[in-house]
Amino acid sequence: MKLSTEETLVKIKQGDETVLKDLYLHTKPKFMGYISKEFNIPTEACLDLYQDSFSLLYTKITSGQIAQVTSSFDTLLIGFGRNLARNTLRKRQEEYPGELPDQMLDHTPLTRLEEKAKKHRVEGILKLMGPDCKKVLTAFYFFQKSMKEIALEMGYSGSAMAKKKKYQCLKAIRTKLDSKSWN
Amino acid sequence: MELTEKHIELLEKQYFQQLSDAELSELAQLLEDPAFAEEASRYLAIFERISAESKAELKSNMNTWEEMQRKRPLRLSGNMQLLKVAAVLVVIVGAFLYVFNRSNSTNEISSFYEAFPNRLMVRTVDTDTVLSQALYNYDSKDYIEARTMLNGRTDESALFYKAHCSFNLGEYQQAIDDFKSVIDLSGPWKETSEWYILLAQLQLDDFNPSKNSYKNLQAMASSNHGYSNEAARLLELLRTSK
Repeated sequence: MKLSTEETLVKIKQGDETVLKDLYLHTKPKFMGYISKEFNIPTEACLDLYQDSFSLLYTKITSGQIAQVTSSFDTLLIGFGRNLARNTLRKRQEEYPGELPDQMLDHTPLTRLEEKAKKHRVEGILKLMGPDCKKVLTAFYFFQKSMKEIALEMGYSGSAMAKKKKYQCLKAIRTKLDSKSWN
Repeated sequence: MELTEKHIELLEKQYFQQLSDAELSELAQLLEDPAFAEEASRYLAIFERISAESKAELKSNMNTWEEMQRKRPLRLSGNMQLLKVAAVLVVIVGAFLYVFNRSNSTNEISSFYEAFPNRLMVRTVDTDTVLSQALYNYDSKDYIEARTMLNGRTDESALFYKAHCSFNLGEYQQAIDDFKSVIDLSGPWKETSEWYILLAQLQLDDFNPSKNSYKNLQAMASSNHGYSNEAARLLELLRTSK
């Protein structure tokens, strides 16, 4: 049975993987056709771009940033794909062989914090978590769901409990990572 | 230094770029303390890593969906189903007439035209997912899909099985061209490719003894070629089936 755009949106937000899979497979050919032709990129790179665009669409739906679709999922995805492709091209063109002079870098405490965070290598972090912690932390940091939604999904009494659980999970993972070496 | 829940909330807002001006200056002030800055950078790395690994998991799911779709048999529409039935009937009638008009030894000749086995699955394709998928299709007799996947490749194994796809589809001229590309590489499939070129040419010439392909078969049968025994056996079958 073919679902309407609205129904698809609701099902995806509810975590229906079959609907997500169908949307992924249904919108792919059009996206690949448009983007590979417009940016003249090979199939493999275009597929990577499609998966990035689809991930973006998915997180925007789960986080509530997309609450309704006025056009179509095809149009949305192609729009995301175009932006991602342009950003990639821009970054490639801006690549500078030497280091930027110091005065050109905006050294604020926050940029220093981000630079330092990027240098830390903590791979395989999801494998260090139990299933509940993985669900809560993934829902918050990747799917950007609200505490209220997380509480509902996990069967917690309310957002305060979800928040507490998130904090406990984060602390636990931080302690586990202490036994690993940080760069 | 241990961060409090409030500190972590500030960092989360920074991560999602939701800091107000007041929170921004509060965080900037806290970051003046090197111990706080160090610990904060570790939490930020954790947030980023959770997100990156979740995205990688999602992409892995997408690849599984692609894989499942590739393995799923094609569903045909109503008209296509009718065409399929008609095609099957044509093949059955054609096969009946063919068998009726030929002697039994023809069946033995057709054994030379059975699909060449996939000998690569275990040896080399572990890391080459396209070749692996193409050979899966080849094994499933989906030669069209297998050939599509191998199009544009110039490595010997891909060219060799692409040629076999055309051969099994009865597109003998295309198969000859592809096998010639394999021979040009002078690799381990050279003699096998020469044999299949001969088989394809024999088909194109309808096994006519006056054609060069038949003479080439005679020459191969009495040569030191790796397929000389097969050539001799085929020659014998062709003689007895006249």
